[in-house]
Amino acid sequence: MELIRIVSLSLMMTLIFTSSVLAKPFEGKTSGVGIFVGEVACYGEHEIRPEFLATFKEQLWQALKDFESKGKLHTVGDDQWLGNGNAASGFAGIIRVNTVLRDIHMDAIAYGPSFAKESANAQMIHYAERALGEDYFWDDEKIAARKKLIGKPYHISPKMTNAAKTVGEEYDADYLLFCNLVDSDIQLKNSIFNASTTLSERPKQIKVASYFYLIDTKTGLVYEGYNFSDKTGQILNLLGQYGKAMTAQNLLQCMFEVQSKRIVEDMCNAGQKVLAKGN
Amino acid sequence: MRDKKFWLKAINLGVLVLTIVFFVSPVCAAENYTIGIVGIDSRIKDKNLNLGDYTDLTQLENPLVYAQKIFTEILTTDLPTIGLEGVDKTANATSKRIAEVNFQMDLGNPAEAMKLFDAKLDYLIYGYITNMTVTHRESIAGSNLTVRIDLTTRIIDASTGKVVCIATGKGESASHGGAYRKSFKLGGSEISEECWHEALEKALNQIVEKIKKQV
Repeated sequence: MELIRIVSLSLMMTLIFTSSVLAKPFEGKTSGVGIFVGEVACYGEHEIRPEFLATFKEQLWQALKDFESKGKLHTVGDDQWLGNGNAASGFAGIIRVNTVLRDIHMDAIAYGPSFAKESANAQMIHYAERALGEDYFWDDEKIAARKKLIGKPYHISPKMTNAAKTVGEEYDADYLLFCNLVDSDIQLKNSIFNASTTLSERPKQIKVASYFYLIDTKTGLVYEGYNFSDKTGQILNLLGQYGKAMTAQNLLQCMFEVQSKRIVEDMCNAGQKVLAKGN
Repeated sequence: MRDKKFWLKAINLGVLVLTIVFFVSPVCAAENYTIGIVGIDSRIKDKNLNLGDYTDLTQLENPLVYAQKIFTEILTTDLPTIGLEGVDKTANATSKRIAEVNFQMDLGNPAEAMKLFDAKLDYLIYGYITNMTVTHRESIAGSNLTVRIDLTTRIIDASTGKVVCIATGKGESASHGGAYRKSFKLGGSEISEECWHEALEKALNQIVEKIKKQV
């Protein structure tokens, strides 16, 4: 009897110590739902400078990790959106990009109820016209019916639904997340500062808008979330914090930080609930 | 003649000693993972806050090189507490080196990026100054200067080339006007060494705390 006790004790100790020896730093947690961030990009009219996009990605990562520490989610396959085509180096344009993820993202934007051709870039317009047909965007009834679906889940094309399922299975992810920083303009007195210029005057008015797309890998349903910040309220708060010397670039960075937190909150609170309810 | 209980106790003790020898000692002697500290760069392109366009007032070196020193100092001191032994791999051309590391990682060639460093490393860490404000206020009590900076760091697994951790931090420091021992001028404001140091230190301390949470 005592011999069994000794053997079991030594086995337990073996397990404890072996696991502590093998543990490597930064091996992520697996509690909560698995989120695979597919792509963070700008398909808006104005291009965003690579360093802004890189900072936004880092802020989004931080916001995701804050939620991860609460046990609500865990991220998988982070190298896909932070590694290849990483905008931090400024070579994002020439580096190979995961085309499957890009196509899923563009499909989610094109089929999304809020998609407006006027505020999209050329690449996005071409994709939407190819996916939905050129005539679709001239049909006012269809556009009006589509606008009614805002806040409700919708489907993307069957091909991309299958691609999303495959990615989900490969990375063991419950949801795929895509972010589109569609608009980021700061209006000065007589000129417009946007994230692609380097003006450094004091800002007068700001507009930052982003969409995010949460895809349920099991059902293929998509939730489109929208975050918008304009000059009211927030700017006054930020000006109180930083003073009048705050430049347009500072302000834009602060707005991006607010956006990244909102995206994660909205995704966890509204997005997952809507997708769980289904159609 | 010894009884059965004695022998059982002896076996018990023997097993415990063996367990300690085989499993506890490797844990105690487990070597730290090495992390190469590549350096820090600035993403700020604003003409008034471009750290490359500083004016040296009283022999303070380039503010970015100064930031680099603080970055290395704090990380080499604090990272060993979480099992990461910081190895100083900073060089004069840090920004070019960071760009090269990023470029090779983008191409999916971690091995190529590692050729820039002479030692075998488990991880790489580098950072960016992403945002900065310098506020200058005049009052009856004198002038007051506040520096706020945002820093971000990335940790890369050197064997796979994957980003394993990102941590961001904010630092703020205020100083009253006066004659500074060492300072530099940026966008019309004179920033003292103390102010610059404190802001960087606070941001880096936040970063270390966040890295600890993610380990």
